[in-house]
Amino acid sequence: MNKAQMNKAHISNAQKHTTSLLFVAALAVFALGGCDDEPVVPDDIFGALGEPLPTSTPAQLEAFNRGHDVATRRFVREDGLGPHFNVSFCGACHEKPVFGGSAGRYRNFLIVGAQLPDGSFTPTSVNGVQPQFELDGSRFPSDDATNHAALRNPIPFFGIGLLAEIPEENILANADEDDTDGDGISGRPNFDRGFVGRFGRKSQTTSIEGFIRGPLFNHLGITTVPLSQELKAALPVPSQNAADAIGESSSALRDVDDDVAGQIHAQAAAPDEPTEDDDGIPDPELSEQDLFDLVSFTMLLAAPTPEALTPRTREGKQAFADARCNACHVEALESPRGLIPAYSDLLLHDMGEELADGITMNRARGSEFRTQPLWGIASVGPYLHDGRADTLDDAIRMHGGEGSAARDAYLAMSTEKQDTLLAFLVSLGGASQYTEGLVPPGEDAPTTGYGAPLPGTDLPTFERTRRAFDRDHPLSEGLGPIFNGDTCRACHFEPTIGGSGPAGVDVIRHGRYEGDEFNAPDFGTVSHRHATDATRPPFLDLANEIETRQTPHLFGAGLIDAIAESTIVAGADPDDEDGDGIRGRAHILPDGRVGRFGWKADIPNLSEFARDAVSVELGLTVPPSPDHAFGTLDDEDDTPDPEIDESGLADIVFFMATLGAPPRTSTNATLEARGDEVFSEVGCDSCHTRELPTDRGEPVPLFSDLLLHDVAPADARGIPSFNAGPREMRTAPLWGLATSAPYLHNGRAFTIEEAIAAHATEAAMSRAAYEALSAEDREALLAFLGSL
Amino acid sequence: MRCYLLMMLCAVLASCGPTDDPQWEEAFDATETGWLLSTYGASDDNVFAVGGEPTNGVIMHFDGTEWSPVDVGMPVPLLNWVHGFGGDDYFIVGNGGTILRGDGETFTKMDAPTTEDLWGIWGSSPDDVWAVGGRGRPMSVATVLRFDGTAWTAVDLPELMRPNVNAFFKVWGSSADDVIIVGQRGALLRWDGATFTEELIGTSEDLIAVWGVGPDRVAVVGGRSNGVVSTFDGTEWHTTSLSPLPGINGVFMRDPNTVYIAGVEGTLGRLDFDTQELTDESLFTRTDLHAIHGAGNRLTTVGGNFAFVTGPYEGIAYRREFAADE
Repeated sequence: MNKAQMNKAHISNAQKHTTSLLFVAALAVFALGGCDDEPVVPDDIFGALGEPLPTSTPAQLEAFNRGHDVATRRFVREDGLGPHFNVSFCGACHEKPVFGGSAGRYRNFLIVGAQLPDGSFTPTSVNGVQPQFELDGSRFPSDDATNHAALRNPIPFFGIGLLAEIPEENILANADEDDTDGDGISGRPNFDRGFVGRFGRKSQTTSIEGFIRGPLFNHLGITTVPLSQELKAALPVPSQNAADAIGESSSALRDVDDDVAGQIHAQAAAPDEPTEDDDGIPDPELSEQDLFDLVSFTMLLAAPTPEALTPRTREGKQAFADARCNACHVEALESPRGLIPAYSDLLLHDMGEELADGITMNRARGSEFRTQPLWGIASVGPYLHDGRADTLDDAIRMHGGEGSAARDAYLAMSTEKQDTLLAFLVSLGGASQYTEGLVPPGEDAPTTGYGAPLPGTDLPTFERTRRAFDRDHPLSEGLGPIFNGDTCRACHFEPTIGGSGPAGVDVIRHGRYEGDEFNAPDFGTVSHRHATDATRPPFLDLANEIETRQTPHLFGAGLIDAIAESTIVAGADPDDEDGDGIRGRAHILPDGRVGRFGWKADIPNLSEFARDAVSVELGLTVPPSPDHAFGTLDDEDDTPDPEIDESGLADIVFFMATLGAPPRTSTNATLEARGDEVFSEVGCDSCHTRELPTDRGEPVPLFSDLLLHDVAPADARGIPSFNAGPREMRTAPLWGLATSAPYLHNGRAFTIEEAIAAHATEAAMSRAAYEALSAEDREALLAFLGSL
Repeated sequence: MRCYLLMMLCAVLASCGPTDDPQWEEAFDATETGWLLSTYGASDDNVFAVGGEPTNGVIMHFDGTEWSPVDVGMPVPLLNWVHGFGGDDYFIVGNGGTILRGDGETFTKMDAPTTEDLWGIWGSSPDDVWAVGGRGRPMSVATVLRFDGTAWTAVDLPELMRPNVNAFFKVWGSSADDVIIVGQRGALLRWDGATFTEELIGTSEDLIAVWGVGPDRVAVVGGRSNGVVSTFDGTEWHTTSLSPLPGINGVFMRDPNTVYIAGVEGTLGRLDFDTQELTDESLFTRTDLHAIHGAGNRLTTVGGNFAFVTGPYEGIAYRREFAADE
């Protein structure tokens, strides 16, 4: 029997003779247990969250770094983004507390399907995932066949390559499908193509390559083909198929001398179907090398470094055992490296009606979930499959089914003992990287460049309010019931906190036209992306006008706030009295104030902006205020109103008001100087006014007149807001242009050139002038714009 | 001590396999042939296997002595299924709406009203043949064609309760007015001679193959990541997950009690029709099997390394004799 045949024999037995294997595994455990060289937890598998395995070879480190770049690459239309998508980059859902981790609730997504009368569950929409967006600016429709949905919070990837190496029999050894030992804990393996599943909330996946290719398509619309045999074999954890194909089966993570161990050191083969779409970009949209690097990056993420036990955490570990948490969260599984302390048996457990989501995946039933690994758990909240738990304490209290006994044992403990148990969990790695948002602990705000405060700002207050702006708002504080973000930073993070947002955080506005009359839905024109339950937020099915709204950056917003209303009004020429074809109308709000913020200039100042944004985007109710007109005072969730107080609002306003202006950059001063001239020659500055003064006389180089203009194509309709007509938009400030793609109000322009080309009506002459430019002058203009 | 226990472990592993393995033997070395997706035999010495590569279809023929390629006489893409009548009239379907008909030595291309990939073909007679297909992608169409002896036409189908069915994979019937079509996401249609009726059989796994020996002895198999079988006893469907067996691609019956199956990673076996109990005959290979068919005194199974969609495309073909009690 050759090595491939032995492999097959091994798998064949795993597939078809589970009972025998359990005996074999027990025998193996006994055999190993009697050995002199007891397996131990190797010390070279740990690292800080987001760091590569210490055992990575130089070549693997190169792949890891390249893969990190792929994970954080913002995909655009030309890269193949879409036609459906939820996010525009992989790291969007795996960013907490660093890339490779989990994400806040603003990255939750819906698993959808149809439950039919015969009891079968058929995934609907895009392979059972509900995308939010279409590339053309529409909201991706719900599948008519969908009659069931479940919420998912992204899952962290730390140490995933180590889990891939665990031999199947070591997972199966903990299975007790029929609860033969009568302890109330069963544990069933899931299977995928005959391999024991180990990844995903339901252990539905065996292959890390497959675990990446699926979401790439379902959440980004990025198509791929499976890695070639050669690249599969070259992965840090090579696939079994490829290893067989090239006649090798040892791990590239580390040489393994033992032939038997070598054979069980590989992961299952990836699903073999290429993904395809019809977005006009040739498939595959991600190169094989990029896919290899992305998979390598994931496989090489180190396990979170656990803290040394202290008397307190040792007591907590005992409490963990006393409550029998470790019946499912087994401390370690053995791999060829030694004991891998993930605190998971990787098996399915019935968590009862308390957690059931009705989603079946392979063998996993609607109430079954994989035991979540607990390493690094301190820093990857919110918790449970749908992120319903704000804290670890909440998560334990929400356990049901097979977890009920452990839950009840926890509830029966003294508060002090519970605290020690929680302290033990926190000690399992990553705690030092815990952050309430995404700003790393101890990281100071930049003092120059993007994200730096305005000169003269009180730095401690800026730091504090920056963290308030960044901080995730939990359910317990009233997030929702419908929302787009769970933090201000959720939409404002490009290139740093306070910035703009990529396509995946666009806001969808919609309504219905009856003739020329626009009718907003009863719930407002915003159709939110998220709900705190497993539903898609309200959307007017009869809507015939849908606009996505890209998130503008807030750099220098305090300076804009300080421009006198009279200054804005002075620039207006609503009747085009100067006959230049450019009008410009100040947005006089119903209460007489002049609007200046937002795509429709429909917010008068930063204070109102904060109240409006936390209400509309986060679902937080605000306190009543005689000085304010914006904000929601009450909602339908269970949290007492207001859900954010004046102090919290003031912090957000302070941060925005003191956030420095975008830094000017220069790569070719001569070219940019010529571009500056072209900017005027073409007439861009007719609307994109170079600067306006604050009420203190300081020049604000925002490149906007803050007026409403109609630059829409002839066939556009748009959505009105207060006194801003449907086609009117505020002149977008151009400072910070280079780092705030995508462009235009709907984010449909991924490049500055596309944005210019989309200008029409009042801007038609300027666009024509731009199109008539020489190539050199176009280059100069673009260089100038990129320097702003 | 450790060595001793490891020897014991190996001994136990060795004893875990089937105890009465039928003797499957390699039919021919198909490593260079390309994938093999279907086999059909009229007799012991007249067996076909079809497949190839995505852009190059292949027909292999066994004459009782050796396997040899049949000159298709024209460029054709991957060929997916073969069905025959009387030993000298064969229909073959393939990618891009390809339909071939021939006497076994020469084939001609038939006009087909589709460019979808066609996966299955079966007929009650040469002038009543069904072909099914679809690429299984959102932009593809689950396709059913019918040949009346003169021309192929696309068949209108009822709206399915089961959502997002973009492909049918196989068709089989016990007679002209009892035809079953299976497909993506658990889709199953039954033709009664006049209309199609959708039947829900308790799974949303892809149903990949169907075969039977009468209207009340029908077996359907499928599953991608985990195998599934469903048997129809004339009254109702009995559907069972075969997990941890991986997906099952091929099914064949020649008696009312035995269901032969072939699937992912060399999975081979016999299921008792009534109990669905498995007798494992799996091959020691990671190559996938795609079809199984019996003719004369032999069973043939074929497949390929389907996990490697960019090639090299390797096939596999095994045969065994029926046992005396089969």
